[in-house]
Amino acid sequence: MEKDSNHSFIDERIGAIYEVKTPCSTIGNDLNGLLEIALQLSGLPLASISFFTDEGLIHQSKIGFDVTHTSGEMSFLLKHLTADGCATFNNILNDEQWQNVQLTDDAHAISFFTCAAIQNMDGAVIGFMSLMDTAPGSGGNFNYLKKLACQASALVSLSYSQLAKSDAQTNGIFQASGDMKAFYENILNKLPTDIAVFDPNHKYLFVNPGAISDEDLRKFIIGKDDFEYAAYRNRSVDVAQRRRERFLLAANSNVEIKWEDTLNDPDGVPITHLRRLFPVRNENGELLMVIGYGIDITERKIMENKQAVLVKQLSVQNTQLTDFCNIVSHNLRAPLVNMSMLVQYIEESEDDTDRMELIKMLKPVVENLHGTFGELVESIQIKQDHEVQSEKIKLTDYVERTLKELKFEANKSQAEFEIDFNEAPVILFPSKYIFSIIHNLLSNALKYRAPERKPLIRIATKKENDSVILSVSDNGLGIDLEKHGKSFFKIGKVFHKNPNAKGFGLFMTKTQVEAMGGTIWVESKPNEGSTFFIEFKNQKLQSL
Amino acid sequence: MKSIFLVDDDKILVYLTMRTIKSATTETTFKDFGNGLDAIDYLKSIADNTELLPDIILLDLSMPIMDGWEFLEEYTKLEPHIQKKNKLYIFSSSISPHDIERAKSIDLVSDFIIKPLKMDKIMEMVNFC
Repeated sequence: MEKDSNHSFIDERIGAIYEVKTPCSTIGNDLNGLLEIALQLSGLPLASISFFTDEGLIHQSKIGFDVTHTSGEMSFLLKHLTADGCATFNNILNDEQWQNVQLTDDAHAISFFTCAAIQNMDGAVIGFMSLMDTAPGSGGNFNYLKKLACQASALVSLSYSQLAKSDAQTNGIFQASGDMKAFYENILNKLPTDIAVFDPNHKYLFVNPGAISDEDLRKFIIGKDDFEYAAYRNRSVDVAQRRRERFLLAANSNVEIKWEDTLNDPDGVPITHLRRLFPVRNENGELLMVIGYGIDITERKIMENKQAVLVKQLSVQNTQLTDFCNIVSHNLRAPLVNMSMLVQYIEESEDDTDRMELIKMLKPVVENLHGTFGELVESIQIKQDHEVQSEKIKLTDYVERTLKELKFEANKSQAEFEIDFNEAPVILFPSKYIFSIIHNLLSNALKYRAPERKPLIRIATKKENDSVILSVSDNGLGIDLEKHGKSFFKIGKVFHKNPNAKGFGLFMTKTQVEAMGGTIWVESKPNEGSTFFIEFKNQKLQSL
Repeated sequence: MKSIFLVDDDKILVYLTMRTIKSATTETTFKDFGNGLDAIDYLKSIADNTELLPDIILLDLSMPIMDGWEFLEEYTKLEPHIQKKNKLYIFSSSISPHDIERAKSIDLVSDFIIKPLKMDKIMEMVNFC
């Protein structure tokens, strides 16, 4: 239909009103059936088939709400119809045109509205089939709605022409039940979804070409079940077994069940279907059949997965941001407060000795500020250093270098070291990070030693798939992980009464490990010791 | 005489804060604790002793061993057994709205004081309890 003829639709609509009024009473059940299909396919809560009349818009058929009239003028809808007679409004609550329209009842504030036009024989729009939701729309494919609306148009036209031929004939559109069957099969066969109908014993009553495209197979399967089909096609019974479980679940319940199903297509590309099964019962509650259908939601699935990755990235970034906020608001602000108070007292003091004492106190405060600031800058650099290069790291060299630096502390505590890098002597990692990581872990192990025993520190590597896992274990103070587990690697977290503990080391180590895609974790028991593990990823290439 | 317990690991800050309070009022006594655990242990030991129990507790948030939040958890359990009512103030250099909101949601916390401690705040605290 062409857009230019929209005005004539509005004029012809008036003529169409009187056509619709009478025939609809006889085709009500059929329209209800069409509407039911549309609602099931969409998964939305509300649907209607409505006609323009001189009393406004009348819902001839409706599901999910209970008024017969829409209040307000809706002829503007005609202007929005696309060339193939469809219109979608993702959020009518924000749409001025809809301001005076109340589509359904008070209980449902409609937000999403999509419709396909129903036309009379002359092609004039006399009404529409619509799907509605109280939540705003978020995309989705409603192609089938157009096809169903075409069928509704056909029904209306047919009933009108029959009525015109013979007023006495009130029995409706179809004379033979064969016509009716062909009519419904036509709809089901043309819907771009998989549809299958089962009897109460899970034997196939019907499948459409969307489910099985081969006509011979489609004929074969009628009256058989999935196990027979699997045997016939030489396929594994696993799929049939899973389908049977779902079927029993649906057959034994009164509600539809739905699930997502991902299979690889012949090219190995994963295809995801949203599948639903719903039981149909008679008035006595006996199971008549189970209707199943599936819609291809692969595109939506891909978007969802992309979103999940993004959300994860964002939440990591958000945590880092919170960490920085904490440093700025506490670690940096605390020494600044001290400095400003000291300066104020120095200014106010009239006693020279007092003033000298205050000046002496400035020094550690300034050093503290300086240290924190340096660490902060360094950790920001790690995050920005995307270009940092990995190189082959011979771990023994780095451990030896660190032990030289920690010689004083190690000798003082008579620490013993056991080093075993036989399984993975070399890793691929940025040199400056690995040095800082080993230095942090070893100096922590010495710093938090148990005073009553000599420190025994074991450093080892092992291979695991593509990764190398470095472990550093000590017999020191240990940490109560139940208490501190969550905040373990955060900035400024100190777990022991140790004057050298600033709480920056583990945060830095974690940042460096994670910047290269690795992970770090700890196992510990108070008073027994701790073991830190670092997983270096993507170490496969090096057969070194 | 009002008794004030200051729970804070920053020795310089403790010194400066005491000095500020002393210059504002002579009607106070002090005791300071380097972390939450020391303060909780001491409070437990004097729970029945109204002579020794404080009128005011100033609590830092970021401390080693037991930080201010953990102290609050422990103190919430202990408080019903404390024989003398007191006012507890968070005393932190944090300006994070998240910290402030979280602190104010705890019943035992009277207020969130951002460091440094100002004269008018001292008078308000001392007169209020």
